[in-house]
Amino acid sequence: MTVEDQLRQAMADHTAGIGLAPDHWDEIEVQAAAARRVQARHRARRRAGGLTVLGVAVTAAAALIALPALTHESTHRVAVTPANRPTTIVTPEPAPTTVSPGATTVPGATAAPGGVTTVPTTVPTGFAYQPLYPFRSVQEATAWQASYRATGAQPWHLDPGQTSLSFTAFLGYSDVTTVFDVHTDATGAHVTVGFPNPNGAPVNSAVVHLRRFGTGTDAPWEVVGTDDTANFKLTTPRYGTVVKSPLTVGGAIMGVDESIRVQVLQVSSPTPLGVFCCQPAGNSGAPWGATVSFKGATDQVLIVAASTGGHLAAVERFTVTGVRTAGGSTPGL
Amino acid sequence: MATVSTPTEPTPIVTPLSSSWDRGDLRQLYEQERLSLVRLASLLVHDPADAEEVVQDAFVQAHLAWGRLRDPAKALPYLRSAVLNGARSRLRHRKVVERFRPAAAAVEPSPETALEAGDERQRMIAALRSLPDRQRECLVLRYYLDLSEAEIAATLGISAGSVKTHSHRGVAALAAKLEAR
Repeated sequence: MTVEDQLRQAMADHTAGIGLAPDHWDEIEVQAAAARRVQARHRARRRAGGLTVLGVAVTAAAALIALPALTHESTHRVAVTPANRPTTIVTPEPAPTTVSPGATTVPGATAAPGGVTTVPTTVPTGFAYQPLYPFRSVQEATAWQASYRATGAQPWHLDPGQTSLSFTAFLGYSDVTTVFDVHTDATGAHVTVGFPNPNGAPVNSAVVHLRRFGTGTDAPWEVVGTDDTANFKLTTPRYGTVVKSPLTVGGAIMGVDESIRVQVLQVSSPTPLGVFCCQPAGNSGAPWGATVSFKGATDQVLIVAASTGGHLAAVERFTVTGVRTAGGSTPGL
Repeated sequence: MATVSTPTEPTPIVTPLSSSWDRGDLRQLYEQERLSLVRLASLLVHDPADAEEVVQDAFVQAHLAWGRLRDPAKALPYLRSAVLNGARSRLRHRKVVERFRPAAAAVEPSPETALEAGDERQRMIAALRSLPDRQRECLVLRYYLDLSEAEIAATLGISAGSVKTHSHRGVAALAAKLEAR
């Protein structure tokens, strides 16, 4: 046997005893994110020097704060605590919707994330949007309605602000704790959520769009998406389309040193079905994209949520869209 | 006469070459290749835990460089290069540490211990590890991963002629070491 053959044999035998190590992908992502932040800081220092870096940070923070406000007309500001906490703050009474029950046409494009109007293949009668949260079907909403009429249980379903904060908690965005604005019109409620910034103006993270789900003045609010803002868009996949894993997600973003995280969720699961972390992005209206794998989808409607942050809070802005699964089995939808 | 087994061939990249190539594919690559890369690293460093860390560091580097890695076919060579560089760095660090460490504190069996055990495999691995970095890397890439001279040259960033020289000298050094025992 030649030396080369002996070497081959020895290396093969030596490595054969090494098994598959535990998966440390999460650590890799954390380390990479930390290294990226350090790199960004070094780049900024090299580019502009200490004083200019401060200016850039202030400008970026100002852009983060100002843009959502510019893209949505404010009507009033109400501080609301998350739904799972007791609150005595009076919330605004939402105007009744004008869409009659049984309508199956898709309402104006202003309401659908990404401006899309794709009609799902199995639009439930009376509700033309994707029911994202908290109810999966009209039947579930009706069941709560009956319970509420009988016992007054869970009145927060009648408050679009609290429903929005319950939704952000479901998404895992623990920094998004405040409702800054509730605007109701014929398309439903548009709730601006975010968080207070001790060093400046409050940060608007997203505008959550809700609709009344069911009939009657006590029909609960249902999250159906988020309104597009100029600084963070999720346009792929299109709202209401049927998807499968792996899912290509993308849109456009405006910002500096952003790190986009994508989740795929369903209401019946407490944890995400799939997570992608993270896609660096930035600049003015720059496209971003990611592929996220998910498994365990059983609901007919899935939530695709993209978030970015890291400057002032872990999640500073987010956007969601609703998609459908081919094999979902949500009862009654 | 003992038969020669074929070294574990790294799984080919199955990620698509299309525009969907993104960091999600790095995750996929991690799942597919981490074992083969840890095995590769284990031939270069002494400690299995070090091998794990070298591979993890390589994926962190790839994570950071992903925006520049437009060609999926270059991802695995990039990771291999990162593993080789990381292993070299570890060994360099180890040499410095061991220079100031009392002999009794050594945890790893020395090459001499391996030789005393009389195990053929350990003798060969110990001899391999005693080679200069470049020779060792060339031999591992050539006889473990079965890479061509051109692929080894690309991975190490040296010329094909240098690969040939290092490989030849490495094999000769191994033969001399084994014969001397």
